[in-house]
Amino acid sequence: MKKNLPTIKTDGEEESSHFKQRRDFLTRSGIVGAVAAISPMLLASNKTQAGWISNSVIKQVLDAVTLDTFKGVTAFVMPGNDWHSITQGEATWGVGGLAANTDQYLLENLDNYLPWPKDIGNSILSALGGALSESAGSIPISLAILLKPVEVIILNALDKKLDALIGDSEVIPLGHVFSLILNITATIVNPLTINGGHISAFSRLTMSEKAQVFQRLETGEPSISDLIGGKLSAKENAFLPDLMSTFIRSLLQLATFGSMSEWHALDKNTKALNQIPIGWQLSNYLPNGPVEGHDDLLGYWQGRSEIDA
Amino acid sequence: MRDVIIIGAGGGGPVVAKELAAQGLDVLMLEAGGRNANPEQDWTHFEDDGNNPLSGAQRFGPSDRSKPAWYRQLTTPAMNMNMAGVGGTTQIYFGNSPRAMPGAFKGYNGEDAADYDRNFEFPFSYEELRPYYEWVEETLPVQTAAMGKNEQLFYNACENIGMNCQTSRDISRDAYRPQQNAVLQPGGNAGLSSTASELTYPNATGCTMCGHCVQGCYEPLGAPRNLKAKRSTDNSYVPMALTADAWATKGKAASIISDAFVTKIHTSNVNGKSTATGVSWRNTLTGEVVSENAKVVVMAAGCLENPRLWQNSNLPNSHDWVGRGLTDHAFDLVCGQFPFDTGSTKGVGSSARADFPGKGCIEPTTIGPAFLAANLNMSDSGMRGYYDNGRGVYGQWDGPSGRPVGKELKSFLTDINKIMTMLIITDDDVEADNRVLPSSLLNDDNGAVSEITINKRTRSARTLANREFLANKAADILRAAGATNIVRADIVPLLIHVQSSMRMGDDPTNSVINANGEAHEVDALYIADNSALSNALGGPNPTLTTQALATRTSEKIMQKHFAGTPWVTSSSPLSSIDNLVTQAVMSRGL
Repeated sequence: MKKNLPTIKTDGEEESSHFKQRRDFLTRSGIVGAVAAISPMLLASNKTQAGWISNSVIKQVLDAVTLDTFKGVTAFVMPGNDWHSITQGEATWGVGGLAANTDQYLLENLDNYLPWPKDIGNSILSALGGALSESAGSIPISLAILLKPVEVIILNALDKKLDALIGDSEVIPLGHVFSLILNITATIVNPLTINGGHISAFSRLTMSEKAQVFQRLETGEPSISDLIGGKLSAKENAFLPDLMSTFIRSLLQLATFGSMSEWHALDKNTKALNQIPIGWQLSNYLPNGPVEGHDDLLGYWQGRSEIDA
Repeated sequence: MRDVIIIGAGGGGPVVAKELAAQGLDVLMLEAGGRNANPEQDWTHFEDDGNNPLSGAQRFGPSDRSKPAWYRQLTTPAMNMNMAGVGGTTQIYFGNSPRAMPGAFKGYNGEDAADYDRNFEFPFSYEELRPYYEWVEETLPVQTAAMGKNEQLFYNACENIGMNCQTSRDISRDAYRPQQNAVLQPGGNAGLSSTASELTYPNATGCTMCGHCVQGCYEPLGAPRNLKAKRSTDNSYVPMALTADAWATKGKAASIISDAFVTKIHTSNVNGKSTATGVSWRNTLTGEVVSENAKVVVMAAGCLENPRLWQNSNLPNSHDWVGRGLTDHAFDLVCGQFPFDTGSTKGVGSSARADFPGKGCIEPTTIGPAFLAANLNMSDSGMRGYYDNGRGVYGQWDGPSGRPVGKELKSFLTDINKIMTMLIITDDDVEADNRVLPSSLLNDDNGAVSEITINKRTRSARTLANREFLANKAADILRAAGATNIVRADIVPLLIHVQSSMRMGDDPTNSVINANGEAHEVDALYIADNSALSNALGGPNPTLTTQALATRTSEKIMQKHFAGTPWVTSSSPLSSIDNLVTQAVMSRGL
């Protein structure tokens, strides 16, 4: 750990030493922001008590961070008139990819279908949670997030549970893990983004800053191994840079693919559309819906419908 | 014991199955992916449902779509688009069936001979392969592509920049032409109607110009499987192999088992040499492992899987050439935006092309908005306006190469019907460092996964120069067609045309199989898919050549192991759309 780490102000609540060690990670990855955002809901539904937190709450917190991060990604590739597009300083009059639920699309695909080694997410998360390296830079103490005592209790409990999950080899979905990396990288690009109007640091960036995040992760400068501070095994270090670079390209591709596809409008059981997909509207694709063919036949070029050998 | 076990039912394996089943052999095809027996029920024309690389119907993964796709380790930036399932990657191909450029073969002495990859030529002449081309072209069948608005625009633009039209199947000069496609020409209402009820078989036959080749072809609705428009092997060679007893005098119907991932090739020592004796496969639905013996084993699992299977089976590799020499046609995309309708979402995936001997090919493509947007985002040149990854190449297109994002991407896609997308297909060199290995780091249920290295940035000078030439030429054609804004993506390797990772050659120090398709170091083990190709063919799409080569290899197998005689030059092929095949397909519910 280095000096000048961000502090989570606690209004007098005592922090555990373990928690202090991990606060940098928890803040910069967006988990603190997610707890602050959803703790009223958790308390209202009586889903959490001091010192205890369920797997479903962990999932809610991680989902909240990840979905907000993916909203920021979607607005980046296909902006619209949504809040995330406005925040990045590049919005449009009409709807964008977020109207097609592309954040949900990314979450579902990356968590459930990405065929990457199951335990790599846990390894990364475990390494990230320990401490970030010097290459991750420092966050000014003045930027700390003010949490209410009850939120700190939730955060402490969540932190312990997260640690236990990783230790128990419970598979942490990869989409979630990489969204945390996007957020940590966002705080490197602009430390001011550890606090602000969205749950995730990435979504608080400008268009240009988001591009810097993608550039860093696509080109591996600094590499994710450097960021984590050499806490991965030699085997994991051997392929993690390629994995990260591949992930970034896959993320951008999937974000555009999801934005423009029928996914959000398709009834999975009947295989029929329940509306003209947003992406089709944006691109004037098949304005009257799916077809079995087109009346596009003009004949054969220069009248030749066959050629000799 | 089977006569022949074929590993993989993609572009090449079913060709061997059909040819040898027609000769009366007992043939078993094993396919790692699903059977794809009911495409009208199981597939749709939707881009995500079909082409999502993680969960789509057409993906490299198990048939159970609730399970994750299969993993491949990429050590260099790339995007995998090889498919599992009966039909393999031909499920999503455009049916483009050009012959290879003659310059890719031994003995070529044209004036441009030095322009080709002379170090890794085919070990026999183009003329020797010609009868096999003709055989496959009649079997599929291959036909001249019909013309829609998109193609007419392309042809006129080529004329405008002074190009000539090629009117033969053999490529001899820089020229444009209608594709020779493994797609049945439109008949009846097909191509003349957009009304679904008018486009069912038999009122419509052949291609309905729906624009959905990449989601797998099941048009026209109601047509018997062997009369579907696109001649992917699930619609052509597989139905023929499974009904060989019905249409071949001495034929014996081949068998097929899907969801069967072959994990080991068995060998024994015969007369001091390793000899293939059978295979083991894993049922991907149950996990059960099954073994069966055969007199001959044919590998046709694809360029990215054959090397893995070879090495996971501990087969000999004295010269360390297994998996080396991978070629990918160094694809690129150059897209133009027009002030008028280009018909870019209608018709076959590609019905027109331009060939440049010694350099490669260009073809206009028909793809939907999600596919186009995602492919543009495969750029190796960073993001236009933000960063260039050390590239950001300038040329006849507008601005630097790279991904359009944000407002620029949204604006570019405003009307998909006013875009023309050119696919750059480069004649790329065989290079030893581009290779497929079993991963030393990662395993899945089927053993060590494939580790793929193909570094676009360090390709040979000839490869890179060819790619730049073609990208500029594509932009010239787009400009001549009327494009007002042209974007070059400069994509990372798109692994769909993959060739030569188990290449054929005379020299065992730089090839895996001999000129007969049999492994140098393992008797009775043959390779009959794109991996067997000696090189990148000069650029033309590989499937037809793979199928011609697989036909030739079938004859070699029959001659060496079953005392047969060649049949290609002494008989005529039966077309896969012949009524004999149709009747058998219908009566057996295939």
